Amino acid sequence: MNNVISLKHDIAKHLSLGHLAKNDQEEILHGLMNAILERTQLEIWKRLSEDDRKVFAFLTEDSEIDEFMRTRVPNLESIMEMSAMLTIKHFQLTTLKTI
Amino acid sequence: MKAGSPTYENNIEGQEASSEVFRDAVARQRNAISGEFESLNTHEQKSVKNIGKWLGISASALGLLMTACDHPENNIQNSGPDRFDKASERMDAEMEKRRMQADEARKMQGLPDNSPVFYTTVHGKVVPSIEMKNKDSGDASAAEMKVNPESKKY
Repeated sequence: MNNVISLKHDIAKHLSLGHLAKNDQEEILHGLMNAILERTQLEIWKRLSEDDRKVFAFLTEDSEIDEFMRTRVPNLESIMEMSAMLTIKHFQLTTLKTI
Repeated sequence: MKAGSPTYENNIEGQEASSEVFRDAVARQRNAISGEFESLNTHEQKSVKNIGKWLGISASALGLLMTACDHPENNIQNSGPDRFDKASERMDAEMEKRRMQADEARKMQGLPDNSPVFYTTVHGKVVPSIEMKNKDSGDASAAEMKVNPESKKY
Protein backbone atom coordinates (compact mmCIF):
# COMPACT_ATOMS: atom_id res chain seq x y z
CA MET A 1 0.00 0.00 0.00
CA ASN A 2 2.85 2.38 0.85
CA ASN A 3 4.35 1.70 -2.56
CA VAL A 4 1.07 2.68 -4.24
CA ILE A 5 0.90 5.91 -2.21
CA SER A 6 4.52 6.66 -3.03
CA LEU A 7 3.93 5.93 -6.72
CA LYS A 8 0.84 8.14 -6.78
CA HIS A 9 2.92 10.90 -5.21
CA ASP A 10 5.54 10.45 -7.94
CA ILE A 11 2.89 10.59 -10.67
CA ALA A 12 1.36 13.72 -9.14
CA LYS A 13 4.78 15.34 -9.12
CA HIS A 14 5.46 14.18 -12.66
CA LEU A 15 2.17 15.75 -13.81
CA SER A 16 3.04 18.99 -12.00
CA LEU A 17 0.19 18.58 -9.52
CA GLY A 18 2.56 18.95 -6.58
CA HIS A 19 1.42 22.48 -5.70
CA LEU A 20 -2.25 21.43 -5.36
CA ALA A 21 -3.96 20.32 -2.14
CA LYS A 22 -3.73 16.56 -1.51
CA ASN A 23 -7.47 16.02 -1.99
CA ASP A 24 -7.35 17.91 -5.32
CA GLN A 25 -4.40 15.75 -6.41
CA GLU A 26 -6.31 12.60 -5.44
CA GLU A 27 -9.42 13.67 -7.35
CA ILE A 28 -7.49 14.58 -10.50
CA LEU A 29 -5.42 11.39 -10.42
CA HIS A 30 -8.56 9.33 -9.88
CA GLY A 31 -10.22 10.97 -12.89
CA LEU A 32 -7.09 10.49 -14.98
CA MET A 33 -6.81 6.81 -14.10
CA ASN A 34 -10.47 6.28 -14.95
CA ALA A 35 -9.83 7.99 -18.28
CA ILE A 36 -6.89 5.61 -18.88
CA LEU A 37 -9.05 2.57 -18.02
CA GLU A 38 -11.86 3.80 -20.31
CA ARG A 39 -9.38 4.46 -23.11
CA THR A 40 -7.89 0.99 -22.54
CA GLN A 41 -11.37 -0.59 -22.91
CA LEU A 42 -11.86 1.06 -26.28
CA GLU A 43 -8.33 0.27 -27.47
CA ILE A 44 -8.77 -3.43 -26.56
CA TRP A 45 -12.15 -3.53 -28.32
CA LYS A 46 -10.67 -1.99 -31.47
CA ARG A 47 -8.08 -4.78 -31.54
CA LEU A 48 -10.52 -7.69 -31.26
CA SER A 49 -11.55 -9.43 -34.46
CA GLU A 50 -15.14 -9.03 -35.69
CA ASP A 51 -15.89 -12.61 -34.60
CA ASP A 52 -14.39 -12.10 -31.16
CA ARG A 53 -16.44 -8.93 -30.66
CA LYS A 54 -19.64 -10.85 -31.44
CA VAL A 55 -18.79 -13.76 -29.14
CA PHE A 56 -17.62 -11.47 -26.37
CA ALA A 57 -20.89 -9.50 -26.25
CA PHE A 58 -22.74 -12.67 -25.23
CA LEU A 59 -20.47 -13.76 -22.38
CA THR A 60 -21.94 -13.14 -18.95
CA GLU A 61 -19.99 -15.22 -16.43
CA ASP A 62 -16.89 -13.59 -14.94
CA SER A 63 -14.88 -16.80 -15.41
CA GLU A 64 -15.88 -17.01 -19.11
CA ILE A 65 -14.98 -13.38 -19.68
CA ASP A 66 -11.66 -13.79 -17.87
CA GLU A 67 -10.60 -16.89 -19.80
CA PHE A 68 -11.69 -15.39 -23.12
CA MET A 69 -9.82 -12.15 -22.54
CA ARG A 70 -6.66 -13.78 -21.23
CA THR A 71 -6.36 -15.74 -24.46
CA ARG A 72 -7.32 -12.83 -26.73
CA VAL A 73 -5.38 -10.05 -25.03
CA PRO A 74 -2.01 -11.38 -23.93
CA ASN A 75 -0.55 -7.89 -24.36
CA LEU A 76 -2.74 -6.01 -21.89
CA GLU A 77 0.29 -4.30 -20.41
CA SER A 78 1.35 -2.72 -23.70
CA ILE A 79 -2.22 -1.66 -24.56
CA MET A 80 -2.51 -0.05 -21.14
CA GLU A 81 0.88 1.52 -21.55
CA MET A 82 -0.16 3.06 -24.84
CA SER A 83 -3.50 4.21 -23.41
CA ALA A 84 -1.70 5.77 -20.45
CA MET A 85 0.76 7.44 -22.77
CA LEU A 86 -2.00 8.90 -24.95
CA THR A 87 -4.02 10.06 -21.96
CA ILE A 88 -1.11 11.50 -20.01
CA LYS A 89 0.41 13.19 -23.04
CA HIS A 90 -2.91 14.80 -23.95
CA PHE A 91 -3.42 15.80 -20.32
CA GLN A 92 0.00 17.44 -20.20
CA LEU A 93 -0.45 19.20 -23.51
CA THR A 94 -3.73 20.73 -22.36
CA THR A 95 -2.50 21.82 -18.95
CA LEU A 96 1.12 22.79 -19.36
CA LYS A 97 2.32 25.66 -21.47
CA THR A 98 5.79 25.56 -19.98
CA ILE A 99 7.03 22.57 -21.99
CA MET B 1 -16.35 26.08 -16.79
CA LYS B 2 -17.48 29.41 -15.28
CA ALA B 3 -16.89 32.67 -17.13
CA GLY B 4 -13.64 34.25 -16.07
CA SER B 5 -12.30 31.08 -14.50
CA PRO B 6 -8.92 29.74 -15.58
CA THR B 7 -8.90 27.40 -18.56
CA TYR B 8 -6.08 25.78 -20.41
CA GLU B 9 -6.39 28.47 -23.09
CA ASN B 10 -5.36 31.19 -20.66
CA ASN B 11 -2.91 29.07 -18.70
CA ILE B 12 0.08 31.38 -18.85
CA GLU B 13 3.55 30.04 -19.54
CA GLY B 14 5.57 29.70 -16.38
CA GLN B 15 2.54 29.82 -14.06
CA GLU B 16 1.36 26.81 -12.11
CA ALA B 17 -2.04 25.68 -13.35
CA SER B 18 -4.95 25.65 -10.91
CA SER B 19 -6.87 22.53 -9.91
CA GLU B 20 -9.71 23.76 -12.11
CA VAL B 21 -7.47 23.66 -15.18
CA PHE B 22 -6.51 20.06 -14.39
CA ARG B 23 -10.11 19.05 -13.71
CA ASP B 24 -11.12 20.61 -17.01
CA ALA B 25 -8.41 18.62 -18.82
CA VAL B 26 -9.64 15.36 -17.25
CA ALA B 27 -13.27 16.19 -18.10
CA ARG B 28 -12.39 16.94 -21.73
CA GLN B 29 -10.71 13.56 -22.09
CA ARG B 30 -13.53 11.63 -20.47
CA ASN B 31 -16.08 13.47 -22.63
CA ALA B 32 -14.10 12.56 -25.75
CA ILE B 33 -13.98 8.88 -24.68
CA SER B 34 -17.72 8.90 -23.87
CA GLY B 35 -18.42 10.36 -27.32
CA GLU B 36 -16.45 7.54 -28.93
CA PHE B 37 -18.34 4.96 -26.86
CA GLU B 38 -21.74 6.51 -27.67
CA SER B 39 -20.95 6.32 -31.39
CA LEU B 40 -20.92 2.49 -31.18
CA ASN B 41 -24.08 0.44 -31.64
CA THR B 42 -25.73 -1.35 -28.69
CA HIS B 43 -24.06 -4.67 -29.48
CA GLU B 44 -20.64 -3.07 -29.70
CA GLN B 45 -21.20 -1.13 -26.49
CA LYS B 46 -21.99 -4.41 -24.74
CA SER B 47 -18.63 -5.84 -25.81
CA VAL B 48 -16.82 -2.73 -24.57
CA LYS B 49 -18.68 -2.95 -21.23
CA ASN B 50 -17.64 -6.60 -20.91
CA ILE B 51 -14.03 -5.53 -21.43
CA GLY B 52 -14.50 -3.00 -18.62
CA LYS B 53 -15.91 -5.76 -16.44
CA TRP B 54 -12.85 -7.87 -17.20
CA LEU B 55 -10.47 -5.03 -16.35
CA GLY B 56 -12.40 -4.62 -13.11
CA ILE B 57 -12.12 -8.29 -12.16
CA SER B 58 -8.49 -8.58 -13.23
CA ALA B 59 -6.54 -8.35 -10.00
CA SER B 60 -3.43 -7.20 -11.81
CA ALA B 61 -5.13 -4.37 -13.74
CA LEU B 62 -4.36 -1.74 -11.13
CA GLY B 63 -0.75 -2.86 -10.91
CA LEU B 64 -0.42 -2.72 -14.69
CA LEU B 65 -1.98 0.72 -14.75
CA MET B 66 0.41 2.02 -12.12
CA THR B 67 3.33 0.53 -14.06
CA ALA B 68 2.06 2.10 -17.26
CA CYS B 69 1.66 5.52 -15.61
CA ASP B 70 5.15 5.26 -14.22
CA HIS B 71 6.72 4.29 -17.55
CA PRO B 72 9.58 6.76 -18.18
CA GLU B 73 8.63 7.10 -21.83
CA ASN B 74 5.24 8.45 -20.76
CA ASN B 75 7.11 11.56 -19.68
CA ILE B 76 6.50 13.92 -22.56
CA GLN B 77 9.91 15.47 -22.02
CA ASN B 78 11.60 12.11 -22.66
CA SER B 79 9.50 10.99 -25.59
CA GLY B 80 10.03 11.83 -29.22
CA PRO B 81 7.30 12.52 -31.78
CA ASP B 82 7.48 8.91 -33.01
CA ARG B 83 6.75 7.49 -29.55
CA PHE B 84 3.13 6.72 -30.44
CA ASP B 85 4.14 5.12 -33.75
CA LYS B 86 6.67 2.90 -31.96
CA ALA B 87 4.07 1.80 -29.38
CA SER B 88 1.58 1.07 -32.17
CA GLU B 89 4.15 -0.90 -34.16
CA ARG B 90 5.05 -2.99 -31.11
CA MET B 91 1.40 -3.65 -30.39
CA ASP B 92 0.61 -4.55 -33.99
CA ALA B 93 3.55 -7.01 -33.96
CA GLU B 94 2.23 -8.58 -30.77
CA MET B 95 -1.29 -8.85 -32.20
CA GLU B 96 0.09 -10.50 -35.34
CA LYS B 97 1.97 -12.98 -33.15
CA ARG B 98 -1.26 -13.66 -31.25
CA ARG B 99 -3.17 -14.28 -34.49
CA MET B 100 -0.52 -16.76 -35.60
CA GLN B 101 -0.68 -18.52 -32.23
CA ALA B 102 -4.49 -18.71 -32.48
CA ASP B 103 -4.21 -20.18 -35.99
CA GLU B 104 -1.75 -22.78 -34.69
CA ALA B 105 -4.08 -23.62 -31.78
CA ARG B 106 -7.02 -24.02 -34.22
CA LYS B 107 -4.97 -26.40 -36.35
CA MET B 108 -3.97 -28.41 -33.26
CA GLN B 109 -7.62 -28.66 -32.20
CA GLY B 110 -8.96 -29.25 -35.73
CA LEU B 111 -11.11 -26.10 -35.64
CA PRO B 112 -12.15 -24.13 -38.72
CA ASP B 113 -10.46 -20.82 -39.59
CA ASN B 114 -11.55 -17.80 -37.53
CA SER B 115 -13.50 -19.88 -35.02
CA PRO B 116 -13.11 -18.96 -31.33
CA VAL B 117 -10.28 -20.95 -29.74
CA PHE B 118 -8.85 -21.16 -26.25
CA TYR B 119 -5.16 -21.73 -25.79
CA THR B 120 -2.21 -20.68 -23.69
CA THR B 121 1.54 -20.62 -24.20
CA VAL B 122 4.38 -22.25 -22.31
CA HIS B 123 7.83 -20.87 -23.14
CA GLY B 124 6.29 -19.37 -26.28
CA LYS B 125 4.88 -22.73 -27.43
CA VAL B 126 1.13 -22.92 -28.07
CA VAL B 127 -0.71 -25.34 -25.80
CA PRO B 128 -4.49 -25.82 -26.10
CA SER B 129 -6.18 -24.87 -22.81
CA ILE B 130 -7.86 -28.29 -22.67
CA GLU B 131 -4.43 -29.98 -22.43
CA MET B 132 -3.38 -27.65 -19.67
CA LYS B 133 -6.59 -28.41 -17.79
CA ASN B 134 -5.98 -32.16 -18.08
CA LYS B 135 -2.50 -31.64 -16.74
CA ASP B 136 -3.50 -29.66 -13.72
CA SER B 137 -7.11 -30.24 -12.73
CA GLY B 138 -8.79 -27.29 -14.27
CA ASP B 139 -6.67 -24.18 -13.83
CA ALA B 140 -4.75 -23.30 -16.99
CA SER B 141 -3.04 -20.23 -15.53
CA ALA B 142 -1.88 -22.14 -12.47
CA ALA B 143 -0.49 -24.88 -14.71
CA GLU B 144 1.38 -22.32 -16.76
CA MET B 145 2.86 -20.75 -13.64
CA LYS B 146 4.04 -24.17 -12.46
CA VAL B 147 5.84 -24.79 -15.73
CA ASN B 148 7.34 -21.33 -15.93
CA PRO B 149 7.14 -19.34 -12.71
CA GLU B 150 8.99 -16.42 -14.34
CA SER B 151 6.39 -15.97 -17.08
CA LYS B 152 3.90 -13.11 -16.98
CA LYS B 153 0.21 -13.82 -16.69
CA TYR B 154 -0.64 -11.90 -19.85
